[in-house]
Amino acid sequence: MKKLSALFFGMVMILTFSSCSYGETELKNRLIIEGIGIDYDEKEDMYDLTVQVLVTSGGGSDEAPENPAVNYSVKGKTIAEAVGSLSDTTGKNPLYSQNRIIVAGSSLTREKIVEALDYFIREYTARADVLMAAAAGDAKDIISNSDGSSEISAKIIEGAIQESSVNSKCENTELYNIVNLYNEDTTTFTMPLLEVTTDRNLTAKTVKVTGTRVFSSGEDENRMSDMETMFFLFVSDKVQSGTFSVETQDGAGALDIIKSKTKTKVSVKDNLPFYETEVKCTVDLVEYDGTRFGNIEKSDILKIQKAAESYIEEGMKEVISRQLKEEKSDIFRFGRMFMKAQPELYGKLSENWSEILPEIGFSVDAQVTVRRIGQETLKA
Amino acid sequence: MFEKLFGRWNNSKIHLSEPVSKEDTDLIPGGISKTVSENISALREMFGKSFDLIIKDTDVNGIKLSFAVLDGMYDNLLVSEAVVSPVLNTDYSVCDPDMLYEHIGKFRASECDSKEAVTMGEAVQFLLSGFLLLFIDGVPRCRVFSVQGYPKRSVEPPESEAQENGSHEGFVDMYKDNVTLIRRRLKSPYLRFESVTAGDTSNTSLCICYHAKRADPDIVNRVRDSLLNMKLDIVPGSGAVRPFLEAKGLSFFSSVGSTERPDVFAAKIAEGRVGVIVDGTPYALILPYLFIENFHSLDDYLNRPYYSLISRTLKLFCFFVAVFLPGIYVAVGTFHQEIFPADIIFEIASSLQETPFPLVLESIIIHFIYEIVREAGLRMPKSMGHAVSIVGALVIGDAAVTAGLISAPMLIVVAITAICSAVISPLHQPSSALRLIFIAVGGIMGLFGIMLGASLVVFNLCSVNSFGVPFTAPFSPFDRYAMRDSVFFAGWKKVGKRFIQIQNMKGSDKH
Amino acid sequence: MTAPVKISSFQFYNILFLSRVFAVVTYIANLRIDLSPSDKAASSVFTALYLFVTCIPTYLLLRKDSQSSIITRASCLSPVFAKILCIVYIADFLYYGTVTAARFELLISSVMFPETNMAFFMLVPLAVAGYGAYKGIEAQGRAAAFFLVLVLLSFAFVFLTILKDFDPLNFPPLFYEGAGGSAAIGAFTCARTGEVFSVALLLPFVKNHKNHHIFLWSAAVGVTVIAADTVISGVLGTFGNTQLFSMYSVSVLAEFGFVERMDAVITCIWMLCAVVKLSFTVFACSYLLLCLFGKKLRLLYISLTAAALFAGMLAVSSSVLNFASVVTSAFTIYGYVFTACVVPLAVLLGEKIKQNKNNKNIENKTLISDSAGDPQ
Repeated sequence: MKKLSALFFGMVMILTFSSCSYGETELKNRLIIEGIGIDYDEKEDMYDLTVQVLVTSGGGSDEAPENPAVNYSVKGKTIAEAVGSLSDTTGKNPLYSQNRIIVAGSSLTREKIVEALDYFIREYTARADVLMAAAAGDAKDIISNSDGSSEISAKIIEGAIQESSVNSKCENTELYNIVNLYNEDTTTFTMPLLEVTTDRNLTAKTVKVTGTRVFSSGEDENRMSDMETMFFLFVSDKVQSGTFSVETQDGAGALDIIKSKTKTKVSVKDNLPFYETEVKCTVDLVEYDGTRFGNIEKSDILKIQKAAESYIEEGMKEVISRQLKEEKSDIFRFGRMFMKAQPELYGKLSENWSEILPEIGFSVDAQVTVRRIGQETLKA
Repeated sequence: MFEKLFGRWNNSKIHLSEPVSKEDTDLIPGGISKTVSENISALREMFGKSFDLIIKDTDVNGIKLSFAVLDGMYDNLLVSEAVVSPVLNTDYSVCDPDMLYEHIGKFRASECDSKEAVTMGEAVQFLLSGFLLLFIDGVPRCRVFSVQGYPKRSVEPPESEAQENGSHEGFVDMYKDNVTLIRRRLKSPYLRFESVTAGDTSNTSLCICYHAKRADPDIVNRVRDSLLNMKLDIVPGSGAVRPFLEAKGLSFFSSVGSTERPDVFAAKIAEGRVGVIVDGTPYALILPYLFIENFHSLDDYLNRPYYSLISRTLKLFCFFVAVFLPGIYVAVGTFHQEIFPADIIFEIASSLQETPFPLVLESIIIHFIYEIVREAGLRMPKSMGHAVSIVGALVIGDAAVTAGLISAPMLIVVAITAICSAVISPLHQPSSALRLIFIAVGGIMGLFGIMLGASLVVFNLCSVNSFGVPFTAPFSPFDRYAMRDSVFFAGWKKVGKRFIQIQNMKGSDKH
Repeated sequence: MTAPVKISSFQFYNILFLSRVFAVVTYIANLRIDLSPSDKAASSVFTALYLFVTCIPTYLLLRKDSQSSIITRASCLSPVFAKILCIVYIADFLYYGTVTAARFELLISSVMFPETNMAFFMLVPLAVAGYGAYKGIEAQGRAAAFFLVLVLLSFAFVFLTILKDFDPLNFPPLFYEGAGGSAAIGAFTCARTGEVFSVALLLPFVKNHKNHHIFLWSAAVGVTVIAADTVISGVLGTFGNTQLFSMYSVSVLAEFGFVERMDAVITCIWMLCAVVKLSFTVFACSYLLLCLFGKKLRLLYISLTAAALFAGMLAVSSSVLNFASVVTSAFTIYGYVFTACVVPLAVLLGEKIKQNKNNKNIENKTLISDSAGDPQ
């Protein structure tokens, strides 16, 4: 019994003190990936990955390193092959759990992006809640962009997307959302659109969210501007906050969105779905040039509300019309709503859903309430 | 006549029960001879060349007398004023030795407690306990007088259980003094002190203390039986007695509590527990004992209840940090790097990049160094304390990190662990051992291994019954009333409404 | 084995509840039938109903005698019948224990340590389970109370933090492709573990047991299963079907402020349920072996059971397909129905027949003595 105990504890000590970990899992033997950009080279039929990795050597010193991250460019027929060559180059195993973002280049079509993401769905360290984004050009330019600071660019991009999402300039799209939307036969998924812009002094380049890319099944790229994105979010009931301007006869005003709730009712007209969208929005008036430091009138507030309502209604109608009729992309999950409301009729229509989209009828009704008018008083 | 001693004089007249005779003393042959010289010869033979055996021969009314005492064990003034002078100045004219013996015992040396020994073994036992022996020629008995005056420590504040609001009296090494300290706090006629002797060679006195109306007689009997059946040669301290009272089975945690405070001891006795006081050590044992009591202190009962909650919660938190933090850090750094927040992982990864050792080995090394420094601080003379502090701080704190041998985050983890470990001093030993085990387990099997190790410890804890009371009470089995004094203290107004005896807790044998 | 140590009814059902929770968190989505999220959530309602119904025979058994074990009652009918019952129960416990260990191994090897040889890793939890069984049901009951708190806290954290991602649009119309799939999956989910027949078996170890407690337990399990499946379906949608362990995927998404990526911690807490379940299984098997052989060789029985579980686990979890073929076989349902329903009813029937026979004998004896005493 004592010999057995001694043998057992000896094994434990050998395992503990040995420097060979299981599969080199220690942190210093891992490649900590911060961001991944995926481009597709059609000529070579290969994926071109740009992987941003944390630089951990020379650390522990007091000064922050100049370049905290380094970008590797690897190619492969598949994502797994490309990643494998990354391991060969660096001699370390990649760690995806700290990955902040995956950027899809403009060269990736809808089908190609789904093929590429299969690797990240199966990889056990990759996480389902990693942010997804689309690049206006090459993903490489987005990921490897440096604004001159020592900040990691993937972190900057992640922050930009999250900030824009809060301001209703883009939708926070995560990996599992893409899978869910793709598996809905009628729905088209979207991703925030990123672009490298130059500041006024033409010195630093920053990555900015400029709208949304819609991954339609067609070859042509379908993009929405940031304002179109906001109206898209209004339809999808995903507006958190944001700012927009309206104009009345007496002046222009800026409104901050406090809260918004959208309800969409589905009915059938002429054997086709009909969507009645109702938006209730509460805003604060943050700027108004109609008073010239005077007090605001109640009638002015009513005018502003009306202007805001028509602004939102027009914007929503425009974006719905464009996506359904012109692009034939159901980014609003109208098909899904129809499936829940009228499963039998949906079953008949779903096969030709993209053809039916231009025929679909809709109405938009917006109700805006101005909650606050800042520090100005209200005229009695 | 007798050498002057160094020591405090103790005029206590506590009546103690007879010490139970042990085999050792029973082996001393025979009864007491009528002839004084034979008795003295027997003593001299027994003690050999020991210089501290003092024999004084004299006579009264022509009858030979002999005094025997051990040097350094008696109070000079008491011996001379209360025993020897009155005996020598006896003007009793009777020459019968037996009548002289009775006269001396009843009338002459009546100021101090006296007993009778009928066998040489008993007489030696008394002699070794500091009594003065009086042999009278012609009397086959021996008079023993309680004249103890050996040097002893005065009542001082307890070193290990400092409190903000509690009394500043702690137990001392003399168990009779400790009994006095308890008596003063529990003025109940039902408070019992039973004396037993343990240790075949040391014949150390142990005292079983309990409240006759509240303690479970079964528990008292089991404690008594355990103490009587102990196989010990010497009893260096209460820690030597503890294993004989603990629950069966291996466990890191002791199911016997100990305290240096008489106020805490008295409060536990009032709850129906049984205490064991060991002569020569200020740490008294208490049983049954619950795991949660390791996080209790007297201040919790004397402070406001909200602060008691904060204090106990803090101690629980410190315990978990002391046991699990290094293992969790090693596990996360080795297997579960995703748990590190995104902003911190760069710092940690950079620090680890330069160190040559795997995380688990680095952790074990630094913990061993900490244990070495801690032991050195405990054992060495105070004058050298500063040198060790400086060496420890400079070498471990600065040089090792600068040289890249260990990483700064690991050092922070060890420092936090060390501080947390000091907060829960009763659990210092198990937390030190468990910490190392969890480091090894975390390094081999990650968080999964730590969870398995923790479940093993929990199974072990849950299987322990301290004299029929579940060790994990009142959490499991859950006892709603007893929860008023667990992680939080509900205040005396609530707790005082319903009295709970320890043996009546849910899940105990009596429940 | 006599039952000198008794645990409370709450502790006993808590062990069974944690056993079922482990089955919930290690549910594998698309082993047999590909269900839509709505149908998956609906299948949990079927599970709750089946569980409730299969508790009825045990309830009827307890109503007649709530102190004796089913083995004891079977031995009163026929010692051979009792021995056969022991063997059947041992086989069942080993089957469910093997499947549990295999699920455990599959989860750990899929999401935590895919590169590691699981044979070594699984020795440790089985050793811990053996230790728990050795310490007895009292230690298991008390430990389960601590684990319950951790498990409930983890559930609360996961559910509350991911509710913001709950999307009703992830639920397609209910039974869009028929209700058969939901009913079938519900049955398999219900039959996945064998807590129901444990109740009748281990009654001597439970004090203050009330007969309706079994229904309270099944209600708690039902609520848990329904809540878990509904939340998984509502948050993950069809993504849940692409993942081996959808509950784990949900824990990946749970985050609150800076507390994120805690899936490893949450998974480890859920693994405590597996430890409780395995130690309970080993304990039950050792009790059955004692009933079978009558010799008090507890350590040997525990070791044999743990070894059998280890061997079974290695065989079953060698690949996902192998595992799928075992857990989706019809034996799962037949075995469950047999032990949970048929056996208790058989024992009740046997007792009824025996009682009728005894009554008849008594009547006959009375008639004979009456006629003997007749002066004519």
